[in-house]
Amino acid sequence: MRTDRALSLVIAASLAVAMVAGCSEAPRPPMDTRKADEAAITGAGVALAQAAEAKDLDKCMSFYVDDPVLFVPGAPAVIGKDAVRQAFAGFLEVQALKLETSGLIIDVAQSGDLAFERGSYSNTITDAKGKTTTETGKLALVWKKQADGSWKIAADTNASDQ
Amino acid sequence: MLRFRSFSLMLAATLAAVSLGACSHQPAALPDNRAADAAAVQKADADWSLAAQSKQADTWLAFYADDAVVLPPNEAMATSKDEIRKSITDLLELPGLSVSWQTTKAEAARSGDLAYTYGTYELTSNDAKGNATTDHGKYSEVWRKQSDGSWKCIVDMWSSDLPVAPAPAPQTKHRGAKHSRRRKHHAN
Repeated sequence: MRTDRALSLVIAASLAVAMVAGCSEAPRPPMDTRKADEAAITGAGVALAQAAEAKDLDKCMSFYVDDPVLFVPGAPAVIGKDAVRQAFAGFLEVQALKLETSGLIIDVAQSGDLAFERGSYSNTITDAKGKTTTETGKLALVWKKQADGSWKIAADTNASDQ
Repeated sequence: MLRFRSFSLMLAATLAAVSLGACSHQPAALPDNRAADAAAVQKADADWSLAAQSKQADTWLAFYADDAVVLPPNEAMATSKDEIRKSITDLLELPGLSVSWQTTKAEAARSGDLAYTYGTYELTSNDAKGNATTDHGKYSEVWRKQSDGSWKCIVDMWSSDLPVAPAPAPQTKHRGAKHSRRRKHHAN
């Protein structure tokens, strides 16, 4: 009988532990991934600039969601992936293009699904005669985390300083 | 000894029931308020456009959070309260000003702390000769939920849809350049 009692107690304890353990999983708030998300977004931004300088249109477009918007000064909003691709293609046709950004600040939502980046950009183009022109401006980006964990741009909005 | 055994079993059953009971009262995940948050941000944006009709800088500035930045076209980023006030005051003092905007899209994060909107604006003001000129363009805004539950704008950017205007004639260059810097539009 002592064995039975001991067994019952073990069962009781096991059940309690199992239930409490099961419980603690449910209400746990989502993990705070903001530091890692910020690093991933910074990396994606650098890779996008490199792809643009390498004039790799497909690679550039891989950093945009399927339904992006692109705002550039002096032209109506560019809406949808085909239209953004066309605008990007025109951008990449520029002979020699150097893209630089500075003062970038990234705000990631606690839930790690949306993030916002802002800062300054500087685009330098060199024409056939070797003359360089630099345009500086401000950028504000909306990033969205994808199902595979990567970050893509949903809105790419820019305003020139000049 | 039988009594002890039943006591143990009862204890087991009770513990299990208590655990289950406690469990069922806790939500499996945080509530999804994205639609309500997006609607709240869109309403704040609409309220802002209405409030702008007063052409009072303070009324406009009340929609910005303390750490807001403003990214207007054709001028540098405004990051301090003074810079933002100057930029907005210049805009509101345009002669014959009429400005309004409308949200195209509003979306909030799952955690309800951040959201964004974008949309289109229309702005009419008088040119140097007193003739009304109309500009239209697009804007994007990032919003942060404040401790009191309200939403305030932390990033505000806009630019004109209109192509870059040709360089002004020499005799009007100075005035034209100054004017264009102050407008909520017109590039270069």
